[in-house]
Amino acid sequence: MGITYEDLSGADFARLETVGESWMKLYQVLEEQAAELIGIKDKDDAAFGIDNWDGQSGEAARERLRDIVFGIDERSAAARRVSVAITVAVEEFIAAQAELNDIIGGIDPARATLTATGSLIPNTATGTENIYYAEGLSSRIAAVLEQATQADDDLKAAIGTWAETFSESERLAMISQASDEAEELQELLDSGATPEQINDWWNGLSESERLGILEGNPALIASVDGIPTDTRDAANRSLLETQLNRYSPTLDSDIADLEAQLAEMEANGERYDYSGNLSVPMNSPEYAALSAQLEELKAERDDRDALTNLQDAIAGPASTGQEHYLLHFDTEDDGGAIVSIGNPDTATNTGIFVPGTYSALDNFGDLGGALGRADAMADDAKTFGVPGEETAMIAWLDYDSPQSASPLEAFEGDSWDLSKLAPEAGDGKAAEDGAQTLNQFINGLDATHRDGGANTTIAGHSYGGLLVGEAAQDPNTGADQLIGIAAPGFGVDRADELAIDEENVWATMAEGDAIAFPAGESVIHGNDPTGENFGSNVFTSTPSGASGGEIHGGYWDDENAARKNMALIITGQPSKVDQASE
Amino acid sequence: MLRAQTQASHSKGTIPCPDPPLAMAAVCDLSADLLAAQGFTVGDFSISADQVRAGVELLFSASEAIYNAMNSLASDTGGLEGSAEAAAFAGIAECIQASQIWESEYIALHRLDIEDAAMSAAVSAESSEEVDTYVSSMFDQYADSYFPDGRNAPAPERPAPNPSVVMPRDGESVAM
Repeated sequence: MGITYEDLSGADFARLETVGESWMKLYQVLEEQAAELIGIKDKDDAAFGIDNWDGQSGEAARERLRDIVFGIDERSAAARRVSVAITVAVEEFIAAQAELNDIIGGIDPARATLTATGSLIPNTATGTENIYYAEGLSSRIAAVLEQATQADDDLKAAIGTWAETFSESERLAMISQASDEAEELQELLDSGATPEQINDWWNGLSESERLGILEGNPALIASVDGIPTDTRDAANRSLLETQLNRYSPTLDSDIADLEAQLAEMEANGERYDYSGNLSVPMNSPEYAALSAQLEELKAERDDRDALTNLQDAIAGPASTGQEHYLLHFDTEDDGGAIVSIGNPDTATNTGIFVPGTYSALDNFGDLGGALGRADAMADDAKTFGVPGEETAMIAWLDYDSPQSASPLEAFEGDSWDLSKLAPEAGDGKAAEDGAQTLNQFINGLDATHRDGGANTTIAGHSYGGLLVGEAAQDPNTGADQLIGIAAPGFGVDRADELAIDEENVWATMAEGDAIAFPAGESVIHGNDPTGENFGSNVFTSTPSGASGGEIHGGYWDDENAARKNMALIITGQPSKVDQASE
Repeated sequence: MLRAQTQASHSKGTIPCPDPPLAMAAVCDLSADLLAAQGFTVGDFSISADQVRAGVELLFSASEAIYNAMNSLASDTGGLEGSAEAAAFAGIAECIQASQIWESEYIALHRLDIEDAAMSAAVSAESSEEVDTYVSSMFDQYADSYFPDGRNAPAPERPAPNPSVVMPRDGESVAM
């Protein structure tokens, strides 16, 4: 049943608005308390940290707090979404009511009479054209009521989904009603639609349809550029939880059992089969089968642990108090993830950090991993940014990061891994491929940004610097600024070969950095971005570490000058950057 | 801080006490049972009771803060109940239902989890300290039971002087 004239004209939405604000307060409290609970367990010297509570009981307590934090984190996001849904509905209801009042206020009583139920009776005594006049007004009123009904349906769907008040049958009905739209989206994706086209199409759906797709096909939208950040986050978190639940609860003990079984076979002399050619010992078929099974289970365990680490890393708010948004994850090869600290759809500035060699899903959430560094950059953007402006900082690992940087790595103690003799980091292919994906991602952010796009900076460390350089060569890159942190090169010989203005191209290389020599000699990936003739703006950084390798990874250490400089660039204050003297 | 090393022979769920006499063992097992009932097991164990108590207080205050925010939401939503808007707008009626379910189920469960964890931690902190106090009080009572035939060597002096001065050597006897 739709909203009637009487419903809308007499409604007071002030109380609903207050309820929306209360949901937002609940969200804030849940978010704050999730952060408090993380603080109790996360550091070694925290109240429930290992320094204060060691042993299995302490471990169990921390594990239990972890589960509690996940629950509260999920609930807080739901409360925020409920609040937003109510706020949007109130705006739409009030707009519809205002339009209705406008129509009513404009009725000429000499031509038509408005009844208590909103019907219009034409005054035919003064002319038959009044019939058309009344019909015109009636259709306008009907359209307004339709608009209010749609807003009401959307509110119901949003509350039912986020607050989990829907019964299973209501949920399935919502999914079913969006099945045609899900197919349409699949067709759009297959046709190679741009992020902007995807976003236009998405915005044309009703909220119920959008939620139906999210609930029924989260995998369809989880990593699609052009789908709003908050929706992608919900889809990815749902998929992450589903994937983690798929792992067998006995995985660890299954591995231990297999290992014990294999050890027993070895001890009993059952490992080798000598019946083959020339009696050369080969693993017996049973041993080989069990070994293969063990390797599969270990790979599964590695994936599970990497995903668990990711889930841990994005639980609760970031150190800045901003929310984490999970925009992508995968476990293919070395795995990858995209996590934003703060919502890039509403932020004034967006920084995208691309990590370099050896990046993988299993180190993504570590302190020195992509997310740890993005977290430090978000913190710096908050400290040094323009008051009142928000910066979203994104850790972006959606490319096949090289896993070897030196031929020396090919020697594994007693054998050679020939695939590493030519180090992956010397090959620019991964950066070229990744650059296209990155630009598509940036175009997606521009499409989903509520004001048409943020001030966007792409910052790459080491091999990630090459990737952002490759991205900046594309005239369609949506990036406004480029930063290379200890980048071996941008894939070009001069800054003016990039599609970003030279004045917005930045680079730094700390003295003693291990990569300074090959970069300085311009032997790989184009000329040295910090070189005199390259044409970029070079900013200062502090050599932080005792060796070239440590310095190479030390740009995010406390007090490193690079941190403030990067924050100033990302937050649009280039004039304050401390530039290195020639 | 109470610190006790687990021995391999200790069974899961038992606080490892150093060769406890029966009375002490009973206390240790009791504490372990309490912990096990809360889902905790004990291995290499050390606990700083004051720190854990501080954590427990934070947990309870988190629960209280969440309660207050939920209470405020429930109270504000109460204003919509029975209203014309709630009767006419299905979405508004859903908001009322949401507040009720969150108050009575979802948030209640989160608070229960938090407070349950807090209580378990409190039991851990307090019982560990009780065990520590109890064990130390038992020394006088049980120390002699390890020498049923009486000592034949003098108790070491404290603070110990240079060991080389007091250790028996070259046929000296320390029997008194």
